[in-house]
Amino acid sequence: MQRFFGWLDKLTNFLAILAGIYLVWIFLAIIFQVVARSVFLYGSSHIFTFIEYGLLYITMAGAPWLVREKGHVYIELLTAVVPPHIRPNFSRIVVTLVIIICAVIAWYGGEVTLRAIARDEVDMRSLDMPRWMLMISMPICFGLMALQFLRFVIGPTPLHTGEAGMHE
Amino acid sequence: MLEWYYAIFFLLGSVLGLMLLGMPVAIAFIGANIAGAIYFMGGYGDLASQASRGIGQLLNNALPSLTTFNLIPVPMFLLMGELFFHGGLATRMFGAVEVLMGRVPGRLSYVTVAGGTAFATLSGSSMGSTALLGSLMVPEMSARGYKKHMSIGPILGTGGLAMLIPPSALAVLLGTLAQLDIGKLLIGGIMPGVILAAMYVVLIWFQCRIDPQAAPVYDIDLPPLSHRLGMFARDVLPMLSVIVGVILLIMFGIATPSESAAFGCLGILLLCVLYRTLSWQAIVNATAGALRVTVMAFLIIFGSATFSALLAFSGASAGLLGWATGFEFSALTMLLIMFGILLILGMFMDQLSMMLLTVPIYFPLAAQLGFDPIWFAVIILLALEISFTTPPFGLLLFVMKGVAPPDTKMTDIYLAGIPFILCALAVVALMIAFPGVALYLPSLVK
Repeated sequence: MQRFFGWLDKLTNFLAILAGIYLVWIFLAIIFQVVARSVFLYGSSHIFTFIEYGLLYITMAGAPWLVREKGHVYIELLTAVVPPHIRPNFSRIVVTLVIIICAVIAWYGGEVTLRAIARDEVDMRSLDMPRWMLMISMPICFGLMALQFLRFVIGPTPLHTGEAGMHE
Repeated sequence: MLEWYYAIFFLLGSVLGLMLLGMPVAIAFIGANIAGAIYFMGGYGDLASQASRGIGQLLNNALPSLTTFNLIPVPMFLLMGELFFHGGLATRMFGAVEVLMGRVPGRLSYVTVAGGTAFATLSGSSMGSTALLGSLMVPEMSARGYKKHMSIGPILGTGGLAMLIPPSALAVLLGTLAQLDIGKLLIGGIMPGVILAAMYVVLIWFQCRIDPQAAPVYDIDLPPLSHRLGMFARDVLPMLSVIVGVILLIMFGIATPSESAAFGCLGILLLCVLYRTLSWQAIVNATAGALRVTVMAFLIIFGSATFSALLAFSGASAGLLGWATGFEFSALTMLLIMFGILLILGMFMDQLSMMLLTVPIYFPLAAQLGFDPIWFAVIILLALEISFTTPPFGLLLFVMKGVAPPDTKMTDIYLAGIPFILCALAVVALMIAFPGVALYLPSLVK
């Protein structure tokens, strides 16, 4: 199991690095676009399209990493009032529900992706982007998120600390 | 089809219920939306086909909600802020501001207001800012003989400023969710923000005046005037110029908010190069920091993409709108009720979740009541932050309790925060009495 989570972490880190690179690319692309438009009176609308798509890819690629880093914001109220000896199991039940939700989105995300391939769907902006190339990020993201959340169910450290308040 | 009140109870109740269980906010929204999408958008047939249609619709809605150019300023402002801190510019600027304040009574309180506002604005998290400043500044100021209210109060007050003064990532998020002109909203926050900052300065001055021992003057080595002017020109002016530059680019229509934000980033990056403080590690840390908050916020937006559609589709929005306007309350009373609801939500919820829950209901209601959307959004921004610091359960109060020195009592924190909350409420009252406070500058935006 340790080896499995080791590989999972490598994949998660790789995707987070890609997300970071895409974020920096967006910054550079906007600067390039403005300079090109002002100086050379030329600008590519495709760049804007890929900047917009980048917001989806960054979110989907970074979300599993954020699960591992406990970076998703959550509120501890009930977990703070349940008796300490019950808290770890209570936390594990809550996280199991979270995994089910992620798995449902991963499953139907896969279905939407396959449907988009079968129907040759496109997202029409400055270019006709095959829709499956966007939708596929969802099952991958939520599948990996489910696996990262699994760590808090079967691992020694639960997600919730019992400290009342909001965590991020 | 459910009656609208059952629909609203079902939709809001399931989001709040899942959040209170301790689920990550984004997943709580997705969970509630899955149930809502199956019920309201699944059509007819067995559960599997309803789920396939409903959840398919949910995911298809999520795509355009995230891939919109309006959201670009969020990661750009965050990257700018992270570079500002990891590139060492923040330390340089606040060090200079502290020296420039000279022997002014309460100087550390003023520095806290300036530093806290910059930090909360650029980091996009008033909780993170409160935690950091609470652990750094409160012990330092206590050691200098400052009374608790002079250190804790300004920290709690800065969140309100951070929401208003550009570059505010949360203002961009609110503008996107409410489909407002982002540039106008960012500019609309400036005048109320400046008035609030001025009120804080007067408040600290007054507190020092009535009780000089609250912030004892201590001796410092004051450099000569020429040295101080040089310090201002070198360590403060360039950073301020970048922020003012971002605002002017938006205001004069030279660049979109997204482009202005990217140029703000570039400005900070160039300053880091000029000061020779840019390192590979600083770039990596800044990118990771910006990525962290961006992903967190955008996944919540992804999760809630269908929420407003479900409220509309189930008839909950229209039903609630008809019900709320049926009381024939005055517009001001309705505004105060909406304000009050935000104050309650702020006791256990983060600002983005509060926005996502209330925007689909509040903005149509505001339009019905004839409110200007920019004016209303600026008031909402301020309400979101006030709710965070309102006794007895405002979330920032507990964050402060967690990081302040152990002898700090909750009553110390309440008493410290109240004058600053009153200032923010006074700005809200001013905006109600004189809407031009929030609307004059946006009217100049080209």
